[in-house]
Amino acid sequence: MGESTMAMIELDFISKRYRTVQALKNVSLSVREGSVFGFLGPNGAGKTTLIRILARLIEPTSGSFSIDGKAMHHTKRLVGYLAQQPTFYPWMSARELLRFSGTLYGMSFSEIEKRIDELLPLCGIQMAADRRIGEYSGGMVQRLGIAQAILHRPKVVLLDEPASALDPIGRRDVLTLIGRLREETTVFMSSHILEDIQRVCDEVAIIADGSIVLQQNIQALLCCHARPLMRLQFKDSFTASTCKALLADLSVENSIEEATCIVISEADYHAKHAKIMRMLSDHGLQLLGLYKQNATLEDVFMHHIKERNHA
Amino acid sequence: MSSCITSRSEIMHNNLSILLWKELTEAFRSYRILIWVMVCAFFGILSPLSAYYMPDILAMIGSTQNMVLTLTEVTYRDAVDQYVKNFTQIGSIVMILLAMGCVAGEKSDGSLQFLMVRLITCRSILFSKMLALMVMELLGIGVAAMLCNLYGRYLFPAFPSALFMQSNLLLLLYLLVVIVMTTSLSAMVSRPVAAGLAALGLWLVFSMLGSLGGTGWYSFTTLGSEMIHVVEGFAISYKPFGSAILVMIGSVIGGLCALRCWEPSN
Repeated sequence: MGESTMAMIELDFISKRYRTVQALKNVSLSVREGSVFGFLGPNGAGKTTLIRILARLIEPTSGSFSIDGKAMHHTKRLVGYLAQQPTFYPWMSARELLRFSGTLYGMSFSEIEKRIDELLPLCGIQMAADRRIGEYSGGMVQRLGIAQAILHRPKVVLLDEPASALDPIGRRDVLTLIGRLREETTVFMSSHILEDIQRVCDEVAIIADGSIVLQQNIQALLCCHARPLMRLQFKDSFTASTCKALLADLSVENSIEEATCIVISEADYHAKHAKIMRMLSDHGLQLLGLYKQNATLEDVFMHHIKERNHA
Repeated sequence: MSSCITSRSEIMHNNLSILLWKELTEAFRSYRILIWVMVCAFFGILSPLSAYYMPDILAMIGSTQNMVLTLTEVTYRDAVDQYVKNFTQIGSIVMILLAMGCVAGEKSDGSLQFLMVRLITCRSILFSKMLALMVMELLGIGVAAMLCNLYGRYLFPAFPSALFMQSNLLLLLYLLVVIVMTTSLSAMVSRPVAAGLAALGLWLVFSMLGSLGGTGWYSFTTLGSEMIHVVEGFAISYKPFGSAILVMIGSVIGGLCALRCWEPSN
């Protein structure tokens, strides 16, 4: 699928209220056709609620959305959905489940069989295709979940935290598979694992407390919002914590990482380079290393969430 | 791609049969059909046998206690009475146990989401589950009626086969009400146990009403007594039919409303 500027998903002021909890507040966003869109937020921010609204599992309290130009009440066929903890019938085999799913979408028998033959190797479950799903590992269920979500060639695939419950190998496999999906569909995935989003997504929206904090292309986001960092490496955690306290006295915002490492912004470091070096030498704090660290999505995320909390 | 996908109305129509296939396959693979048919076969054989040998059993027990028991002669009526009691009491409870998780179980384990995101109406989901249970019921009662008829005719020469087979239609209706009630309650709650307890409670209320007489004769649970009337060649009372139909309509409406309003919880 080539680059396109057409919006595949358009959300207009979607709100959702559960008795006393306002889960979503006037969420508006637009997702480009053929992109892998990451929906990022801390636990309880409203990611799953929004994905369920798009999957038509729940109704928004107010607002509307469209997919491929079609109003929200006519979008079920355009969407493939994978739940956060997918549960399929344990007594069925993967092949049976895919056949069942295809029939429910009105696909012909020959088309279903052809598509199953394409998807089983793509999702890496062809060896277990005739085994009962009840015997599958978590990673295999997740891959089967992706297969059933894209079986009917939907315009949009909604993936709710697709890799959060997997081990590192399972995560890598699922993310690679998601990366491949951009060739045939638009992917809207939620996650609280920033590394996953940064790895596969083209565009990202950050949600906090039910509101969209920002939406941007990942590369542009890193350029605009992420501040380069300097890492100061010490021999032990005691030295690192002493340095942390002294840096606070110099009004340098810093944080400890991995017990022996302190992270400060590059701008702060350059502005107070001389003072920091003098402080280290005066207190006999031996610096083992000083590295420049590229900005990550995590820095942007933490920055915006902190800013929001302060506000 | 669109050429291989049929029209929306056609999909909705076809989906009931696909869902019914899924329900029956599940019932078969989880041995639910087998369990039900075995329970029914057991009742079908046991009812005439226990009625026929009851005097011998009691006489044997009496002789060990140095007692002499005088019993009236057993007839086919005792066999039919036993058959009706087995199905309207234990049979109803077994059916409630089999049906209580059909929707609530899928809600609680999350597999209902798989269906709800597809082009399926809530009506298809609910009716497919009821139909699958009805097929099971038909199979079980069919086996039980044939076995009871076979043993009944062998043990009691006066056993009215034709009337007995006709009376089983009332038993089918009785258990159908239990199925519709339990399935609908299963759609209203989120845990199978809650559905089972609610169905059991309602069934007990109707049973108690039925045993009171008077207006209680309108309770669908009195269909059991009507079965015996049919076998004995008496005219049938239509009082419990109205209640049976009302309970089923009310249950279906409640179940459909609950399923339409259902939203997955976290």
